[in-house]
Amino acid sequence: MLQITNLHASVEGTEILRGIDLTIPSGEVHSIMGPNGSGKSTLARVLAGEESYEITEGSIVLDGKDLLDMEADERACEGLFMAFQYPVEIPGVSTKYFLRAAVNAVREHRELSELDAYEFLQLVKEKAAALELDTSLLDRSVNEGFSGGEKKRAEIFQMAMLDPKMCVLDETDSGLDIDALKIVSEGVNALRDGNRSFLVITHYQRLLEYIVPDVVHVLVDGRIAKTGGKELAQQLENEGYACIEHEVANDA
Amino acid sequence: MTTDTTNDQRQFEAEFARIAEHNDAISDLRRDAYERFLELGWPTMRGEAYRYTDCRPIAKADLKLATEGQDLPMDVLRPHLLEGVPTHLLVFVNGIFNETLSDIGSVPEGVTVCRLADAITEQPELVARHLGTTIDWKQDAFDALNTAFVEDGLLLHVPKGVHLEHPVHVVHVTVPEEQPIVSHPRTLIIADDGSRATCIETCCGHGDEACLVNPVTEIVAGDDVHVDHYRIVREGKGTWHIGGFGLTQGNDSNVNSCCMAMEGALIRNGMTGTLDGTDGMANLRGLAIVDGERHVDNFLRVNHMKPDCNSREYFKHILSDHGTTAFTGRIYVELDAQKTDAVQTNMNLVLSETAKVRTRPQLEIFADDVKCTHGATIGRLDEQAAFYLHARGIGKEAARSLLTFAFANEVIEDIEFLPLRKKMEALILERLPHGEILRSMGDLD
Repeated sequence: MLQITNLHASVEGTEILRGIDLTIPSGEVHSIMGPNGSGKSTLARVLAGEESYEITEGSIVLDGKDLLDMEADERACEGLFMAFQYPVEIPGVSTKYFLRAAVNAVREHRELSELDAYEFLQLVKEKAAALELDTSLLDRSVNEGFSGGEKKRAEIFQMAMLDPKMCVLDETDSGLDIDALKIVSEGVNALRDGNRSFLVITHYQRLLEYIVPDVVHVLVDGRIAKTGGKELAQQLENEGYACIEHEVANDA
Repeated sequence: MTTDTTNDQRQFEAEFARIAEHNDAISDLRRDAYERFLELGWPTMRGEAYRYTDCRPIAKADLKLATEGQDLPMDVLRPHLLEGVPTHLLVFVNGIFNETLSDIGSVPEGVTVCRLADAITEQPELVARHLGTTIDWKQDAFDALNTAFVEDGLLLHVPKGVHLEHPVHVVHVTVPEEQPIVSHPRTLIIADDGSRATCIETCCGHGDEACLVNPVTEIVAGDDVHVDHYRIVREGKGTWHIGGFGLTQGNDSNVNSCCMAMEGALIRNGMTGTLDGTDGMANLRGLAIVDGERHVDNFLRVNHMKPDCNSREYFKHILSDHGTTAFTGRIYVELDAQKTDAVQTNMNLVLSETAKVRTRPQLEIFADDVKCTHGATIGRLDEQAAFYLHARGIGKEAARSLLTFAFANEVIEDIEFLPLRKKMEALILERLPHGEILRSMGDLD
């Protein structure tokens, strides 16, 4: 599904990603863990197509298509979805209006017919129910005044609405209490259908108790330092990132 | 204001002589206002009030009053009406009442919705008691000019305790003639204690020719009154729209007024609100979309005369191309007006390198226990927000339009009267590229 090869990215001349190789087959859930400043969020934003990063080397291929040739909106239309660590507040436009514009932009690209008001609201109802999301939230401006939990739930709700192939979750667990974490995780798990792939970026192992990954990668200093099964997350929880950083230092 | 001797403001002499033939309840007021206009002369940029608005082209134009009405096809009017909503409708073409297009309908017992011309003869005392009391026509040449030439317009009088259910909609259409025409429409709204009413004014025009539209609206609100007032300005490309607005409020009154400066070569919106009772709320709002070479000037003064009143000024300007805007907001707080709570906001979204913004907050506070805040911002579209929209599949142009709409929408999103809010949303969207991505959204409410 997603193939990242020798990806180098820098911002304002500072290299942050220093040769990432990562392949996520269709239907799998991969997790990226790593200490602060290792480049986790940069990877998410580079995947989504933020323009402030310069890609100096490498490639990102989604389902056979080169993402680096595409603008952020095209990537979204092609089926990439990034759930933001800090969803942006947009006062003045209701979540419902925004989401309808997004859903129809994506549908147009996929050569599907536009959803009319009734179909759209039906879809909203169905997806919101699965996430226990209060639909009155959708009448409010995008993310404005939402609690931390509401923001993250709204991200997953958007994910469900846009029906992506490849979901990138950027520290979706940050700022969530345990109840919200469960609801968000159930929402994500409900979207695991054997075809859709996930890249779950997190600092803590806790999220991975709820969204159980097939593969865990550890990102250190802009490179994947270690790859393993879900037990790797538990090891990191017990021993901390220092042991990996130590291994990397020894290898060098 | 200083007199600019290069302009001959006596150009209206003959026309005023005709107006002066009306021997009615407001003859003296007209005469005083006319003389005051001659003293003041056309405003110049050397004075405070019109520092950022160049009136020289207006002063130089050979303006004349329209003397006979024009036929107007319903199709031209229709886009300006609220479809499917009952309203009390008055239509004026070039300042002259159009009976065919108007539909005042029936009003509740005691309520007056009529032509101001009729009210001047039929309810002379009421008109004379209130006309000109809310605005400072002695200081503003255009208000003086309007007052000198008051002939027609709207009188809305809601008696004590009456709630007028349907909005009054007055539409002023300007149809250019060979010579630049001028009109001075007047709206007088008198809301007695405990009453409620909504009034919408639309000033619209067609054609590119030079015209001057000089409307003045006054609201005299008693105690415990709720009035909503809207002015939608969609003038022709060559039209100068110099509008005045005056408001006085009694105790516990709540008045909202919103000015949508959408189209016209030059739009000046002068507003004066006077809180003359305790516990009042004056909520003044405005939106301007300014492209091409257009200019919009919002010039406000809010007078807090009594304690415990709130005022809100919330004005947003969206500029592109060579558009220019000015905002002046003066908050005056009288010595007695303790516990005043006044908030003034002017936000400018600048979408081009060549647009120009001028913004001036002015506070004049004599009481010592008040809360007065003002904030002015000039900025561009938020790039993080734009990225968020792109990341959801929304293209560049559409995202720009969506964010611009979001900025504008904050001015109107609290309008409770849904058909009007939808109308205003549509007016904003039709000015934005790729507005269609949002245009279909209205049916979600």
